Order: sequence, then structure tokens, then C-alpha cells
Amino acid sequence: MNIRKGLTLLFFMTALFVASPQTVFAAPCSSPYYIEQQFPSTGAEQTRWRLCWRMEKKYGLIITSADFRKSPTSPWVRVFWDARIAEIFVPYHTGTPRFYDIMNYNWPWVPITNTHCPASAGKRLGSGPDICKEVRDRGVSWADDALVRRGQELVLWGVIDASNYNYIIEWTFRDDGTILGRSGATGLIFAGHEETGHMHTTTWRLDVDFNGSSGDSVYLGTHTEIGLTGNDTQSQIFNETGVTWDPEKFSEFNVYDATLKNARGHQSSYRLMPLRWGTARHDEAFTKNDFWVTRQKVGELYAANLPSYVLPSDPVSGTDIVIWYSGSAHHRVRDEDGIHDAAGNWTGVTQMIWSAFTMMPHNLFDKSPLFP
Amino acid sequence: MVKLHRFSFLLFLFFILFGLPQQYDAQAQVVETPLPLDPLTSQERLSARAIASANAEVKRLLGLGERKLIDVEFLSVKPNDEALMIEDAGQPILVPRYAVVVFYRYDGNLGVRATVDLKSKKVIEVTSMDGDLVPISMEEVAQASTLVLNHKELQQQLPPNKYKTEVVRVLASNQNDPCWKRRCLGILFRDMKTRSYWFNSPEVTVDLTGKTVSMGRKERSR
Repeated sequence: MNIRKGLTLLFFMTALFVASPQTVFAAPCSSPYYIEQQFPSTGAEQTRWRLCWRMEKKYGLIITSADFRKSPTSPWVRVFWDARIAEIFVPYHTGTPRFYDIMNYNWPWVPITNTHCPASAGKRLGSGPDICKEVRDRGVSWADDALVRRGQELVLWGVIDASNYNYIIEWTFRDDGTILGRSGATGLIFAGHEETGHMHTTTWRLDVDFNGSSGDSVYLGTHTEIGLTGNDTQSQIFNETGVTWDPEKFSEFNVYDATLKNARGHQSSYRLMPLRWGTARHDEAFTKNDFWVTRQKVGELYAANLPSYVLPSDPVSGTDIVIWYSGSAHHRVRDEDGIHDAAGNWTGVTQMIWSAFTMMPHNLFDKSPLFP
Repeated sequence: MVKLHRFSFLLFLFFILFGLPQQYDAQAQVVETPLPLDPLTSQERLSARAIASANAEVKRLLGLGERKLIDVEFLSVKPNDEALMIEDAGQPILVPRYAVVVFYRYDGNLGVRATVDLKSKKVIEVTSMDGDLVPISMEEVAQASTLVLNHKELQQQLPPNKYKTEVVRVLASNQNDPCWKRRCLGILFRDMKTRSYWFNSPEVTVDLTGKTVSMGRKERSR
């Protein structure tokens, strides 16, 4: 074959490849709101996330659809349709004030600067409402003596400007399918309450569409110890309700799809597990439970209304569900928060305090993920 | 052979220019032609506001007194699984784009919420709600700041151009409170240079319903 013939063939083959009808995914959002992240971030893909995000006044960073693929040849599995903050409730120990920092305000976002998000750490996405995107090394993900794997994670975060406080709303999507939601509070202590302890209780609203919106069910996972034996059980939650977290029972919400199984025939699920330092119970009814499950309904967005959302208590078995989780950052005021200067003015800043949860895949992979 | 070579080259260019798969088109969408889960464009916000404001039921609920646009928020209504499956077949999902437009009516402390279908340009639902449930808008925050900075008594105490204002919501818990069923904000003063709060500031409350500024109120929030 001479060079001309070779070039002609190459042109034809390239043109056919480019123009052939392909069943490619049609992204539901455009750049920069659409993100695909493969892991490892360089080299051959092992796992991949694809998602959309939106930065809104009031709620901050919202994840609007998130799908995970456990291998390049596996089908995509949807995890979230919509994941957002549903409240940051800040009651002061003296009984007042009691701020509903999401429901009662339309706080704007804080513009992300190069100091927030230097090129060495990540990349700013968006203009106007913007966020920081980072792909981080997450340390050792597993080890067997000398056989070691360091993991990676995609981290997206934006900032809400809530008067004296800045709230960092952060979403993390790991290479092993694990998700983390974190809410961080930093800024100036509320004027006139420099000595007053308070809570920052964040409630997340997670519209989980595990392998699609229909056919999802929630089970309460429970661990018990009797004598020398431990026992792990789970019971299905059939109707909308709130559930308290019991630290001695390792309470968790497990979300199952009706049909999704791994290659070993095991039912796949995502487990919502708290990452917490305590449990805040206040006079307000929505704080009496740490988990809630509701049927997905348009317009049910505020945590403070949860007690009314579950009345009447609609069925939540094998349907489109929303799970809610509350975690508190307890701010005990300390000298590190700041100091009154000679003129009596408060100077200083509260260091970041976090509340968080994780969602871990269970029987989604067929074997240890990211393992040789 | 030369003709065939030229033809194939032109064909190649044609496919490169016009035959790109849809995934690349999606990435190249400009903001003004949004995809289903994109944020509202500025044009959509303006359109939603105009459509809601012109709706007869919205007008009736808002009355003729003072009212304010609080927010225009994107509402994505989830399609069913079958509709979502076409994503993977290379077709955009059919998610209707709605906007929720929230207004506040000062007389009577009332909120009005209109859901606008951006495609048909019609209001599909109008509901009213307790005004205490209507969030404070950033325009109201700015309005409160203006009222405070123009307050003569405060002007005497406030060094000019030294402080900026920040707000907290004041929701009265009993009928004896002057802010009962009114739109009130507590004001914080922050030194623009040191970023610290004016420690000795009076307790200042702005009543946006009556456009008044009061000093000495003890409670800034419920």
C-alpha cells in the first residue's frame, strides 16, 4: 500500500468513526456544570463519576444528579438525583437567638478566589456563583503489608455568605464509590454573643435515586451485642418517619434498589452513616430525630417542616424516596475564636468546624474495588 | 487517485465540522440555551418574573400595596425512569424547566409563590403562605442598610464610611412584640477596616413594613 492509499484509508476510517451514530450519554447539564471524573485521575480508568452541580443562593452547592461506574465496562448507576443542604439551624445555649440560616434567608454565595482555590489545589468552576473543584489524594485506601493503594477523591465545594458566618458546603466523590457530605462553619462569632456556646446543626436532603428513581426502599441497620456475640440486622421502614441515631447500635440507613444486584447475586445498597461528635436535641420537633425518610415530593425542601412532611405517613417501600440526615457541630466558644481589643471590639475568627456524613456502597462491587 | 484523495479529504473535513457526536455539542452549549439541569439563565429569570407578575391570581393575592420580589428559583421536576433512560441512548432527558417565583406582600405579612412553566410560559400553580416563612431577600437587606445609614440619630453615632451593616432576621414570638407579623431585621455594624463588630453599637432593628428604625430592642431573633 502506497502512502496515498494509506492516507485515504485513514481519512475514511477517521471520518466514519467521528460521524457514526453513537449511543453516547447526553449530559443533562452543560459545561461547567457537568463534571466527569475518572479514577485514577491519570492512566487507565478503573472507576468514574459523572455529575451535575448548581450553586444557588440560600442552599449553596447542590448536586443535581450523580452517577457512578464501577468499571469501564459496567453500566452507570445513578445515586443522587438531587443532594443539598435543607437547613443549618443555629440555636444559642441561652435560648435565643435561634437562626434558621437556610429557610429564613436567601444568603448569597462568596466568590471563590485564588486564595480559596489556588491552582495548586484545584480549579475554580463557574462565573458569578462559582465553586472549587479539587482532585485529592485521600491517603491509603487499602494496604496488605507491602501491597498498598493510595486512593483519590473528587471534592467540590462552595461558600455561603451567612452574615457573620461563612458556610462551606462540600461534596466528595471517592474512587471506591463512597460519598461524603460536609458542612463547615467559620467566620466571626455573632456580635454580643462572644461568650455564648451554640450549635450549627446541618440537615442534608438526599434525593437518592439508586439505580433509578423507582423501586427504592430504606432499611434501618442495627448492631447489637449480646454476651460474646454481635449481631447485625436490618428492618425495612415502610412509611415516612423520623429515626434516632443510637451510637451503641451503629444505626444507619441502607438504601436498596428493587433489582440491582452485583455479579455475585447480592443485593446492592448504599449505606448512610453518620460522622458525628454528639447529638443535639432541641425544643424544635425536627431536631428530635437524626434520620428521616420521606417520599419524594416536589417542594418539600426544608428540614424544619419534616414533622409535617411525614403526616400523613405515606408508604416509602419500593418507591421514589428522599432521606434526610442531621449532624451537629457544637461550638463551645474558646479563646481561639477571637479577643476583645482595647476598644472593646471583637477581633479574630472562628476556625472551621465540620459536621458530616458518609454514604458507602455495599455489595455494589463484585470484589474489592481498586484491587489488582 | 488524486481525485479520490481530494474527495476523501473534503469528506473528512465535512464530518469533522458537522458530524461531531452529541456529547461534544452538550459541552459547547452556551448558557442562554440551557440543558435540562443547568441553572436558570438571566433571561429565564426575567421571563419567569414577568409571567408571574402578570398572572391574575398573583395580582389578586398581592393586592395594590407594597410588595417585593423575593426570589426566582429553579425547580426541576424529576422525570420517570423510562424518560431518564434515554440519557444513555444519547438523547437529552426531557426535564421540564420550571421557575418558582416568590413575592412578599407587606400589608398582611403574606407570601405568594407562583410556579412558572418556562416552556409554555404559563403559571401552573399559585399558592399563598405565611409571610414569616418567606425568606429575606438581598434587596431587602440593602433597603434596611439604607434606612439605617440615613437615620439621623445613628448618623451622629456612626463615623461615616467606617461601618458596613449586616443583618439577622427578627421573627417575633408574641403579639406584644412590635415586630409581630412584620418584616423586621436586626442590624449588626462591622468595621470595614478591622472587620470587627462595633461592640458598643446600639441594638438597632429595622421594620421594613413600616420603614422605621428603632434603637434599644433587646432581642434580635426568636
